[in-house]
Amino acid sequence: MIRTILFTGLLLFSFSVFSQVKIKGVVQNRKGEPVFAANVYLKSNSQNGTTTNFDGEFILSIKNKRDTLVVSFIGYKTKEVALEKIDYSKKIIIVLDENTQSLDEVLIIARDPISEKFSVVKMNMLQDVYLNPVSQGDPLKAITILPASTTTNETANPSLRGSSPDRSRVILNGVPIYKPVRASQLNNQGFFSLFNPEIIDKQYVYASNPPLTYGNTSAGLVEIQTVNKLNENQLQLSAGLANIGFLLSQKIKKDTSFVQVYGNYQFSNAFTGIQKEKLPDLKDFNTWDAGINYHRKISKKMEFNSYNYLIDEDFTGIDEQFTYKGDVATDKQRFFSVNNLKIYFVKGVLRINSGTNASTQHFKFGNIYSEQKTRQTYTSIDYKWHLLETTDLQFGISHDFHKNKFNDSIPSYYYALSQNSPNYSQKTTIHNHILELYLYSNWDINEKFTFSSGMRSNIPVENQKYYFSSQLGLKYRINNEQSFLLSGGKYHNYSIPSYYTKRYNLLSSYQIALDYSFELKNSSLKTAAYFKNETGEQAVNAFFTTDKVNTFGLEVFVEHSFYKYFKFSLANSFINQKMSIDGKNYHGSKDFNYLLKSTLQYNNPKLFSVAITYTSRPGTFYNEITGSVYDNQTGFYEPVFSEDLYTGQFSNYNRFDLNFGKYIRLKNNVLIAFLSVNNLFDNRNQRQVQYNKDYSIKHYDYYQFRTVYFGVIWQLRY
Amino acid sequence: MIRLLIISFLFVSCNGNTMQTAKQDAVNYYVQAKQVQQQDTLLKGIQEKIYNAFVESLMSKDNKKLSGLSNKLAMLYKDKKQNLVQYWRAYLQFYSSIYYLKKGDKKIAEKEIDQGIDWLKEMKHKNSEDYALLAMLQGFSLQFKGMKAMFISGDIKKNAQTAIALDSTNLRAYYVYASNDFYTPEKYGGGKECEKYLLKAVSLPTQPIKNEYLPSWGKEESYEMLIKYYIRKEKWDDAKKYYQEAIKMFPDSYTISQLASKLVGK
Repeated sequence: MIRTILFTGLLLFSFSVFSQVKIKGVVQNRKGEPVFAANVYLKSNSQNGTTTNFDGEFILSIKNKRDTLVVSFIGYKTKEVALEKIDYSKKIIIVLDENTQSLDEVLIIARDPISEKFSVVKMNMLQDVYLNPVSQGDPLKAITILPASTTTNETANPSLRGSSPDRSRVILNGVPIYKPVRASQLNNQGFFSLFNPEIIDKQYVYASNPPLTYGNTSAGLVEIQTVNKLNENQLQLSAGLANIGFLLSQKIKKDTSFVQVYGNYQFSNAFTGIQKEKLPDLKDFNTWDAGINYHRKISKKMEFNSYNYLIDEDFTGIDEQFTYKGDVATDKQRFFSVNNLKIYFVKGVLRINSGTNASTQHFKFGNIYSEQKTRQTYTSIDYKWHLLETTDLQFGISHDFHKNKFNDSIPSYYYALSQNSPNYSQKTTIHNHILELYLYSNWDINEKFTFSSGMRSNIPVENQKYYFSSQLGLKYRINNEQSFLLSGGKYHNYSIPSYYTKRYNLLSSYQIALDYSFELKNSSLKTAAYFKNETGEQAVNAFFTTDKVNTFGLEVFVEHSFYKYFKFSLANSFINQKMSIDGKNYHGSKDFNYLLKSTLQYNNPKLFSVAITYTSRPGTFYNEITGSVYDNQTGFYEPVFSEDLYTGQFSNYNRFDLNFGKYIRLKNNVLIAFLSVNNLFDNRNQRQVQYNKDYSIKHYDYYQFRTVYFGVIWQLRY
Repeated sequence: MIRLLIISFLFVSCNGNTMQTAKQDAVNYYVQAKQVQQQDTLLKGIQEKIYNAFVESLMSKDNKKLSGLSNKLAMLYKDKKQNLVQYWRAYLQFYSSIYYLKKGDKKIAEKEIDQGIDWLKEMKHKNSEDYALLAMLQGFSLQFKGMKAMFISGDIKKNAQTAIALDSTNLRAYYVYASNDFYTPEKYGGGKECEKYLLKAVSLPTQPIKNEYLPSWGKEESYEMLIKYYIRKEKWDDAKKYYQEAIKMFPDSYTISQLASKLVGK
């Protein structure tokens, strides 16, 4: 009996000792990298566990081989391994898969453009648009504060690094928006863009070397992304001297869908009424516009966005061309729609974009009458592929179709523009297909270097010429504060037909640019040097075209914040631009020894914000008229131009603008009052030369005189 | 945010609590941990080590302890380049910032917190914990930022939302989201969502599985803020209910017990 008990006890003891088994293993991710600090424990008792070391290794003692081993770590799917299946004599390898929830992070990465690191400026709506002293709340006008902006005619149509606006493109949610400005001038305040800042999330500016993820640009690119998440519902009502409007941002389903609807009416009566003498060329304007932006998160992996916009504009004023002065009238109706479907995968995002644009415009001045109908459709499919941890690829195809119909009466003699002067009718219908394929890659070589390359080729349609665009970019990040960006390439685009040039001319450019950025907590410095060689027939004005423009530019921008609420910025550009007409070189339209923009801001949210901006540059060049010959047939003098072109120069351009804003918030209500005084000191900035009847005396037409604008915006957030 | 954080972290007995709970659970861990041939044990219980270094620095009015630990973490990061090491370096910066703030050196305090924020911003493949800490550090930095504060506030919300999206069981993600809302004045739209997020935070475990390398802060702070919220709203029954729950869970908590006086007679 005793022997039996002893034997049984020994057996149990030895079984017990035998059953204490150790599992040795290593936890890795899919890339074979060790996972440090992962939890390794038994399913039956989570207290019986351990954690992995820096090499992903662990040792765990177990008693019950029927249990299950559980391995978990933040950001990875929890893995279970039945102990029965383990070979205890070997070190087991447990591979963790990334948690599908981290798809959200992919969403965040996928939303940013692949070329983001190669944009010169990324603009945030609140900081860079609303508080921008020159933007007047307009996202495209906000760009004009940048040294790379060479817009000189007080419009919102972006001219970047000396190139014609016709060569740069504005992209909204992957779809190009051609002529993104209003047709009529708002009381000489300059053109405004078509975009409402409330629907915009981010805006990227590529001052030169536009990423070849988009085509049809040979200068720069502005990429706009609309809001993809609405943080709160909002009703906004606004009233100004020349505008009343509303905006409603409303979540439809919690965090999955929202809609933004807005409308504005712009009118001239009050605005002109108080400052008639400052607006000599304005008679009347009336503009209606309305937009709707609808966003829907169809599923965790799919999003749809539709942005639709309608505008109806009427403008009447006075214009003077050559020796004829008379009424000018324009009206334009335009509708565009931009629709996007995005499908997210674990390693990438597929984007299908479609755009439609239709407009009808009438223009009347003297014996010039023009009706222009434009139709455009755009379709593209892109896939952005997060190929490796350090490498992203994007490829796609796009089709951009344009159709322009002109029904014009054209003066028989360009200098005889009165209503009774002879003219002839001309009807023209033209169309163009731009079918292109592209591939773009971004490679983070290491923490300091990022390399990008892009190529884009057209597929010729209807006897088009074949072209191939390509680019390379290198970003060198010295440290957290400093970086260099070197980029270069060859680019192509088609010109936009106009009353004077009813053709789609193929334009191209070679560009190279070096940008340097140095950013500290309260200060920043940005400089750039670039060279561009632009070719292709492009209208300089109604009489001349150029087929070659060479531009060399240097830019510097400094910004400093001080005393908590003050900020000072200074931007200056030196641009040497020469254009070639019939083999001879002349001053380009952006040939400036300096282009200075300086701003001083005081922005205290508790008190008020005020900013003063100074803009200065030499005058632009123009063709001088040296004499005239009387034409019996028309009764007008025909001008005789100087043989040497572009020798005349306007006087220096100087302008101060003042902006004041007061922000009051009470619970859910926000009231913003604003006042702007444009051209504070009423400088006479020459815009155009005008002449008496026989061209013996010249005088000038001027840019905007001093004008005052004020208004209030009321917002209810709920 | 600053008030809560200073009070919470200067006088806290919460660490006492977490230490106690950690010890209860830690028995198995320490036994098991001995089986693992760790090359470096610096990160074990690192949250507690940082806190202790902070308290010692504060008591001795000398940041030797904190900077010593910071140097050790820096050396470890140099060797291992693990996100988790960088997480704790950033976490330490938070305490370092409070240390200098208490010393009255706002400039260095700002520099310290900004350093932590920069490290987290630069971190690749951030997980829910990293985003939550980033949002917390950004929230703390608001006091130094003047006119820039209004831009950072949106970032904080976004980072806290991302933290929640990446791990819907991370109580710290809910806590920092709520905290941002709690300290945003009502006239600027704050105070609307903190209750919902704090209730969610207190319903979650500090860690799904106890792990001494990983963060476990946030639960006591969530209770404290929730009670303060109910006191602010004069919802006395709710305030008392969560006070009872909190004091039961954290019986030695100085900050929570301090709230009792405000509930007496209500």
